[in-house]
This record gives sequence, C-alpha cells and structure tokens, in this order.
Amino acid sequence: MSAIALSLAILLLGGLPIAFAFGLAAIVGLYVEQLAMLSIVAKMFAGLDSFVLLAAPFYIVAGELMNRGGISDRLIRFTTILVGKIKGGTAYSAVLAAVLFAGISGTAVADIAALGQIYINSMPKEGYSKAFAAALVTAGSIIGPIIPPSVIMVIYAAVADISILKLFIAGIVPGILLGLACGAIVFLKGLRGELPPTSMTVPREQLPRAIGEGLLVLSLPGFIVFGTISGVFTPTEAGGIAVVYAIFLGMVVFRHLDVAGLLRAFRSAARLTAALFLLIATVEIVNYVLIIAGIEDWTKQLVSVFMNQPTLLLLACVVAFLIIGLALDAGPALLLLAPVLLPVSRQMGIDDIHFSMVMIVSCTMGLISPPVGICLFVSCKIGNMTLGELWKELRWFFYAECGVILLLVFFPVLSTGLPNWLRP
Amino acid sequence: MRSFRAAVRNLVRFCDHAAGWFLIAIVIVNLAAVFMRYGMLSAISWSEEGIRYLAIWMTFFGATVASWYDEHLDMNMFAGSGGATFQAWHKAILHFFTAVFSGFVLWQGSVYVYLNGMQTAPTTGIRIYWVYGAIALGGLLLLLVSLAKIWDSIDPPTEVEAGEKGQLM
Repeated sequence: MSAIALSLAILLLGGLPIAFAFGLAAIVGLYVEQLAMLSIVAKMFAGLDSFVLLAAPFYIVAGELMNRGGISDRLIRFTTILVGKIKGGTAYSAVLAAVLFAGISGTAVADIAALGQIYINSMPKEGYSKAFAAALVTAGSIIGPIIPPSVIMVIYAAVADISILKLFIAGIVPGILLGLACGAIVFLKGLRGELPPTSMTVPREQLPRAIGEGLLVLSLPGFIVFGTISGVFTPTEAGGIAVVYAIFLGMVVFRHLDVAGLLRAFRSAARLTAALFLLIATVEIVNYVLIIAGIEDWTKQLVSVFMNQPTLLLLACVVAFLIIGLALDAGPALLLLAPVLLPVSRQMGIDDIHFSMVMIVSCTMGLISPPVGICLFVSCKIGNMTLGELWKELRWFFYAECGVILLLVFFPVLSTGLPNWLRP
Repeated sequence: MRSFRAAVRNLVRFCDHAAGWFLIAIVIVNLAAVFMRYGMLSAISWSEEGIRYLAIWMTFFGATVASWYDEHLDMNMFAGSGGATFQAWHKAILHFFTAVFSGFVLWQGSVYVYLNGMQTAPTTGIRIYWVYGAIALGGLLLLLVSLAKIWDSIDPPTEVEAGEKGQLM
C-alpha cells in the first residue's frame, strides 16, 4: 500500500494529470502485489459500466446549454426583482443567483463562469471592491455541486453505491445554509456601512416578461427534483429530459442558441465528461489494488482509534478533507476517499447520507481553498486580480462556510431530515 | 515529424466531433427509451446497455481531446516556475508518463479484446470486442497524442502549426 501512496504522491506533486497519476500508481500497485495487469482493463471497464453515472453528462450538457442559451442573464434579472432596491441589493442578488443557478448547473465551475462574468464586472461600478465581488461569487459557486442536480453527487453515488435521489434531496438544506452563510457575511458588511445602494433594476414595463422568463428557467430544477422524487423518472432519465428542455429554452423561447452553439455545447460537455470518466476508471483500479493490499485492516484500525466517538471521526474527516482540498480537487478526493471511509463510518453507526453530505461539502471547499482551488483561478482570471487580493476578502466567506460544515457535523437532521421526510 | 503532428491534429479534430456525436446519441437513446416506456408502454430492452457502451466510446474519444488541450485535472504545482527550458522538459516528462500509461492501456486492452472479445453482450447482442475495443483504441489515441505532445514540448510547433492547432478550439 505504501508503494501506491508514494508513487501517487510523487506523480501528483510532479504535476501529472490526476487520472494518469492514479493509473500509473495502480500499475505500480499491481506490480508490487503481483496481480495480473489485465485488471487494468477489467477495472476500467467496471468503473465506466454504470447507468447511474450517466446522469453526469446529461447535467453537464444541460448546464452548458443553459449557459450558452442566455439563462444566466435572465436568472440575474429575476433575482434583482426578488431582492428589490435594498442597500447592498446586488450583493444579495448575487447570493440568491448562486443558490438558484445551483439548481440548474450542477458544477461549481459552471456557476462561477456564468455568474462571475456578470457580477465581478458590474459590482465594482456600484462601488463594491472588485475583490469583494469576486469573493462573493467564488464563495457562492460551491453551492453549485451541493444543490441538485449535482455532477459530483452522481459520481459519488455511483462509486459509494448510495441512492443518488436521497443525496440530491439531502443537498437542498446544506446548499441553502451555504447561501445563508454568504448572505450573513454580506449582512455584516452592511452593518458596518460598507454596502452601496443597488443600481441594478428592471424597468417596470419589463417586469412581467422578466418574471415569466425567470420562472421558466427555474422550472427546470423543479422538474428534475419533483419528477425524480415522485418516481416518474430516474435521475438519469430526468437528466436527458433536462437537456431537451434546455435546448427548447435556448433555441425556441429565448432564441439565444443556434445549431453551431448546440454542437459546441455537446462537444465541450463530452470532453469534460470524458476527463471525469477517465478519472473514475483509473480510481477504480487504485481502489481494487488498495483492497487487495489490505486497506480493510487499516480501516479497522481507524475504527478502533475512534471507537464510540462518531462525532470525533466526522470532525477528523472534515479536517482531513479541508487539508486534502488544499492540494486535490473535490472530485478526485471524493473518488479516492469515499470507498475507503464509508465502511468506517458505517461500522461506527453514522448514517450514510449524513456522512456523505459532510464529506461532499468538505471536499467541495477544496474548490475555493488556495493554492489550487479551481474556482479561485477562474475568479482571478475574470477579475484580473491576484490570489492574495481575492483571498483577503474570500477568507470570511470561507470561515462562514466552514461553520456550516460544523452545523452539518453536529446536527445530522440537516442532512437526513428532508430525505427521511420525503422518503424517495 | 511535421506530418505526424498534422495527422494527430486531424485525429484530435475527428475525436472531438465523434465524442460530441456519441453524447448526442446517448441523449437520443435515453429520450427514446423514456418515450417508449411512457408513451407507447413498451420498453426498449437494449437502451440501458447501449447507452453505457456509447458512454465508454465517448470517454476515450473525449479523453484524447482533453489530453490534447491539457484539460485533464492536475495539481499544477510547477506551472510558471523555472525557466523556459525547465518548463519544456517538465512538460515532456509529464507527457512521457502519460504515454507510458496509455501504452499499458493499449497493450492490456488488446490482450483483453483477444481473450474475451468474442463474448456476446446480454441485451444488445453485439460482440463484446465492440466495447472492450474502445479501451484498446483509447489507449492508442492517448499514446499518439502523448507522443505528439512530447515532441511539441521539446520542439514547439511553428506559428503556422500553432495557428492550425488554435483553430481546433
């Protein structure tokens, strides 16, 4: 096992793409454990041969189509109407847009790419600092993978063999809490008199149209959630229908999307999905080698260390995920750790959904934690600022979101309450 | 070597379109399955298996394109550090490791197809080499891209070549 860990660490730190680093580390492991090299293909195939996993490309392509189909502009107009002309209205509108957009996109990067372009460039014109605008949108972006539909949850569900539907429903409350945490930081800034009045308004004559378009956009997440909870569709089928709905909105209703744009969206989504799926395929080989190498003994030792202290285990996991998140993206971290840690949490009597939500939210923080958080880079690029400038403002949002993780650790009902109540 | 680069560029262009069309096919089959089940009350028995196999093909074509554009996730600790020569050799070494893994996938994938390829898939009824073959072919495509990228790192393409590469975006 140490051979895999060492080779993986060297290859990852050396800068090799994570999927290939996992693949090569697995080959080292297969060689050390004297296992058949044919396992490479068998396990890659097993990793990819999953119907649940197929919801991921649907949500990715739906997000791409929504982005290219003029959805973000309409959503922002809608949130501006909802928030109204209060002091700091644009900042609150950004938080609300992040929560609502999360119901459409499914990934943090899609959120920040869509909302960042608008808010990071427009908020400084109202008197906000560029760093604050970027920090707000960056912090809000991690709500994307928490509120359903969520690509990361699809992948997690496939790898950990957990109900994707329960995970989707469980993500709603933590996602809203993350939004409230961001809103609280904005509110505190307002108490110190640092929020300018809003200038983003929608003219009265455009109100009905803007509200109608906003509701049309928001009917997509509603359709996915209620369609799957009621059992009419599986999450994978709902993903396919979401794609058609996104095409309908972009091409027919908003007329913002043409055939060339449509094909570009599919190509882009295929590339993104392929990179993700290759990662899943190679992680499957690593997990196989780890099992053969005796990871089970290691997990038993871990259980004995935290015996009768499930909360302590959760806190230790959160700290570990936050540290791992400093170097590793949320997806690979979850793929690698879920199969290892979930059996430990089960042995300690922690609810699967509770543990999964703590794990997913903690790992997602890696997307906005320096030095390699991908959302940080996107934000810095849009705002043309340094990581240091951004972090100076972002840290308060980061701490507030860590507070939400602590709430999730100490109050399991925040994760398990809604899925248990709705019983999908 | 110039013609090899040009060939790989064309191959990547083809893979990019193919991956997109595989995704379109996945969406169509998925929708057809939903329509048949709820509209015609008659399920398409092979839809789930078909979609899974299409996704495997899409993965390897798409991963090849992602490799060409350096879109695979990495930790990127050395980005921007060192001089131009260090950067070039660092990239070349990384692509060499990618090539090693791709070579393994090609080799073992081919053996796997040879040993198991004549089996039949449960519901689609196709020979399974159509599925496992995607993994072997994916290994080959990734290997070719990695070799081209090693060469690009050591001997960067001319402006004309880079322009052609840019057009792929």
